[in-house]
Amino acid sequence: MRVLVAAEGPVDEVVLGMLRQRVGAEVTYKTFQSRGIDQVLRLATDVVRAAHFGGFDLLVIHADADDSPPHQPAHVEARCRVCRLEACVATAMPTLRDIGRASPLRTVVAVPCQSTDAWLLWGRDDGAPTAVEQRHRHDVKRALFGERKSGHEAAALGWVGQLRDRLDRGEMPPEALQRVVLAVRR
Amino acid sequence: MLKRLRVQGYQTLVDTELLLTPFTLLLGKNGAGKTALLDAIARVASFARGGPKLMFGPAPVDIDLRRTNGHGGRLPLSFEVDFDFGQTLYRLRIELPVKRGSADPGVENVRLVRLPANEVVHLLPPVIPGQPPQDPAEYNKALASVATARVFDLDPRQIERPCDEHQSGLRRDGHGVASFLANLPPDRLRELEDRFKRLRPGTVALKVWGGDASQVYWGVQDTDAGDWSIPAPLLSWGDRLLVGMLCALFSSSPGALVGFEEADRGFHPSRYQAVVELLSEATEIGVGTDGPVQVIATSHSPALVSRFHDRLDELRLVTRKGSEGSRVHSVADLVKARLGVDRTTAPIGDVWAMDLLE
Ligand SMILES: [Zn+2]
Repeated sequence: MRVLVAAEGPVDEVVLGMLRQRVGAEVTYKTFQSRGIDQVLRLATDVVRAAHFGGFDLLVIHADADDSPPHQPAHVEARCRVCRLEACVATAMPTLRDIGRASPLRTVVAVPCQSTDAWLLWGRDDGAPTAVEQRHRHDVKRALFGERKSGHEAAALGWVGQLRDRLDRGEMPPEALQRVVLAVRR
Repeated sequence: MLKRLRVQGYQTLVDTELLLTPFTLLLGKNGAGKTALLDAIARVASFARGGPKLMFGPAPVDIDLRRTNGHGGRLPLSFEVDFDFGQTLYRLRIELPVKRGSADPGVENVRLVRLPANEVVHLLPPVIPGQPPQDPAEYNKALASVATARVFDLDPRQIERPCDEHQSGLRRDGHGVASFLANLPPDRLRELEDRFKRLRPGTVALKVWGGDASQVYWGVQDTDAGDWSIPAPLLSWGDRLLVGMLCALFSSSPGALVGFEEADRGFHPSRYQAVVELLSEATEIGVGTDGPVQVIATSHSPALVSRFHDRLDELRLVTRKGSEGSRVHSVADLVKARLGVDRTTAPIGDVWAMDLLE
């Protein structure tokens, strides 16, 4: 299975590397170069096209939830990031020309928690998986980076190793991360 | 106009072809080969001006300019350009058999041929068909048109520097702006100044003044500074670069190719539009020249590249994978192939920066 993961930043990129391990898929990353939901929404249509014409089986669009209200099934809510991204994907899909694919492109919109960086806290053993995922994104940033204004990416890459170690030891991943992995498996 | 460049065995250009338009913007990651392409154009122009010694510096050349092919052998080093001059299409091919320690780089083979009228652009043709010009004068004129191409790698710290009033010409890095301005006829200086005023509101005049010996300095008089001139080193990087670009354009001849390495570097993004408009106008009607010039520039900036959202035909993506050598792709073709559309939904610079074209 070939999976295209479009994610917001280098932290997500490495965290999502676990999809490769856990799902055993061939994973290609594309990073939204400037962060923020507006950029993700702006590029979503082109990302869907790239996945379709690139012959990928599955597209995962992954973004931080920030202040998005929690998505619910049959939700239509203007501030909900899942709703907005799914609307983008739904608009783009019917415009895709048939190129003789074996099966149509599948898509997963993953907006698992306020800040994906929360998983790094769990990697550092800074709290229980559910607890860290429910922390406010500003709180997560403060706990990880303190007052540091720069060097976030380099620091995060260091903690990703710890996160990976815990997962490799077979520990139960944070719930939202697990949901992403399950969605991809399905 | 230069229509096509093919280079073999030079830096990352193992066997690389570039098709050019009146305005060509090269984008690509660091190390992909954008600079090598501009360099190759500059070297072909140097060759046309003064032969192989000017192309690669004075002898003795104790380096082997040819790349290895990875199997202990050497790739041929050659430069080939297709260009039109008058109504005729020509192809110039320079092959260099440079050997280690040789006292003179030498040229094994230089051929200039006429091409059939509509034969432009094929991808990597094997050799050069066509008829050699019969008349030596035609040969020289055609070669002279290639010699007018120049490539700039403008550096604000060089642009600001005073220089000898007799320094001839603007250097690749922009050194020599002061003497260029000092030696411009008054009406041409006014014309350049008017241009600059449009790019930098508040400008009253461009000023040139003498110092010790025969050094000349330049600066800007503006409404805030009253009677005083702001010396070039106190101007913003963007202001200095704009003056450098204007001097580069004003010092060109109509029809010449003018290259700008990293056209976005040193500019605040709010000025990208002005830069693109200036260079576009140079290719459409000319800026300081009695006719359009050809422009080739490189850029790293998605924001600048996005200014070409509706001008995809002018964009070339330079890529290099492993030891494969640089490849140049038409962005319009890539958008069609990778995304199945003629235009991206998001700005083209963002789509490129996200690697959706590769
Ligand atoms: Zn929703």
